[in-house]
Amino acid sequence: MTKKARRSVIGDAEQFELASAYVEMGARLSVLEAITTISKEKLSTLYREIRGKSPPKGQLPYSTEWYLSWQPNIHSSLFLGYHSGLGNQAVNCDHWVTAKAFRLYQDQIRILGLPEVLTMTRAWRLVQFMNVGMLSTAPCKRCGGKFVVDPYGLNKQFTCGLCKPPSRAGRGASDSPSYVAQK
Amino acid sequence: MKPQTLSDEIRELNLSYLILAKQLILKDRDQAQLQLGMHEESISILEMLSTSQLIQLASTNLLLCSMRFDDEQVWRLLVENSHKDAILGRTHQAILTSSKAAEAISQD
Repeated sequence: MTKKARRSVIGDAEQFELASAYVEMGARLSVLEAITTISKEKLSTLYREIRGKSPPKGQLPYSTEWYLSWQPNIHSSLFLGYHSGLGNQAVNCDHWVTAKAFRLYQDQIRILGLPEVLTMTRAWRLVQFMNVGMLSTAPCKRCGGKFVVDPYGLNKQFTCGLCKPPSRAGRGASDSPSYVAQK
Repeated sequence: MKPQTLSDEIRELNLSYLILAKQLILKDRDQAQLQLGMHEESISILEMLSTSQLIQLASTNLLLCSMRFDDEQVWRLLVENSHKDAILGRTHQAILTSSKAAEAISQD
């Protein structure tokens, strides 16, 4: 958000709308604080009104490692595909693009019958990591799909986790992407 | 009841397609652009059309919507499923289609 200096009723309403959308999708309070200029007290109230309980405490995920492990990488890359498809329309506020991309991700995950591995907080954080270059995307040399990668890795030779799953992938019940569907 | 010919089915599909496209556009323009894979100009035109114009437009024996991926490699990957786990295969397809759709939009 670039319009921090000027406060207006319409501006506040827009911020509340954004914050509400984020709360509905399960974002943490710290995310709301980062994307709006609304006070923490008001944000907590908003959170309670929408979710019917107090916001959970805790820090934002700070490590890029999570996005690179097998199952989270698949989910993150799917989300990012939608995000880059929506992101070109420069008119939009970046935080709304993230929200819309997350909705498309949730929708697709529901169609596939998979558990929602990526949360709104993680999705928002992923976009931040991408923006500052701590994570980037690379096309898989075999399938051409774009995946989240470590920017300092050997990405010209990159093969995605779906073309070449690690030998252990999906063996343990809880790390299979179809964990819920099989139950 | 008169048996439905294939060209009737094409007209019906055209109309459902146009109505769905218009609903998507009215709901969220940017999202519609990604979901439909349509150019912005076409979206602006479709947005303005009335229902009777949509019906007129649909009344042809040619399909108005076509396959959005013409890359042979993408097709092969979408069709052949190399995964033992069916859901894994469909997840792979979902990633491929979303990244190809994003590519197509950024090329415009």
